[in-house]
Amino acid sequence: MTQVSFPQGARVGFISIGPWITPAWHDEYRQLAARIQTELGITFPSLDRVACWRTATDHVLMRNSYADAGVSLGYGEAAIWMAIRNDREFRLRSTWRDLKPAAERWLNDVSSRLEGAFARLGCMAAESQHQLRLAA
Amino acid sequence: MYNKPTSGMWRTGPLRRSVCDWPFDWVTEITTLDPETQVHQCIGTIRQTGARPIGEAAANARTIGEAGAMARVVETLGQILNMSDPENDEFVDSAADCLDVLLQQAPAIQRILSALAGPRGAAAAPALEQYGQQR
Repeated sequence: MTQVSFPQGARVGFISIGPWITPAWHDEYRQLAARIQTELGITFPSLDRVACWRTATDHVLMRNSYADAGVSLGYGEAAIWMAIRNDREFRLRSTWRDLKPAAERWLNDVSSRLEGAFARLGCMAAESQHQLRLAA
Repeated sequence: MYNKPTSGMWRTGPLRRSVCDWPFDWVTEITTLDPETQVHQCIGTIRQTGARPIGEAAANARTIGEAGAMARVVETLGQILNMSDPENDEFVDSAADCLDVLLQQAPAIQRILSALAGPRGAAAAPALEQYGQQR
């Protein structure tokens, strides 16, 4: 089965969104993005709101020194994810000191809080077909 | 070579300032939702000088955001012209058939005109920084 894309190595939660093929799809998307920003902003005060894309399909909604958080849509699902930054500013900072190990440590430290935030956003429970899962 | 525009329902996002202080640019994204796969994609970013009045900048962004739909309508209008041209291979000797194809475009044209006119009432207020400030 084809699956919604998300950044490699990301922590991901999935929400089943059903068909969004209406002229008002963008309003529904804005509401979903605002809900994600509110929940993640409360859970992780270090995240700032941003508006950019990692690829054509992965929309970055929030960012801190180590990680991007965002949403990707496709095939009836929304993938809410958090992944280590890969933008130019992060790579430039990494030329002085490799920041990836610290970023990995931070992501591991916050994984339980992140799963809590995913659950509050309505991501599928671990036992279900669309379980919370880590990207390979 | 594949030379069609990105498929799906294009949508222009809200205008944002590129930075908090002057000089800034008006920045907005055009995204699309594919009707078959429901994959949401960024098509591109429109960047305009901050010296441009916000209403004009928003109208420019809306116009560019409708480019895909306008291209599809113009393509169909070209087919209708071919259908009404006796010199063309696609000529059909029936004004009713040409009118029928033209009228099929009416909903798409009305939707484009409505989108170009922009939101009305409370929704017409500038929707700045809906997704937050770009850093």
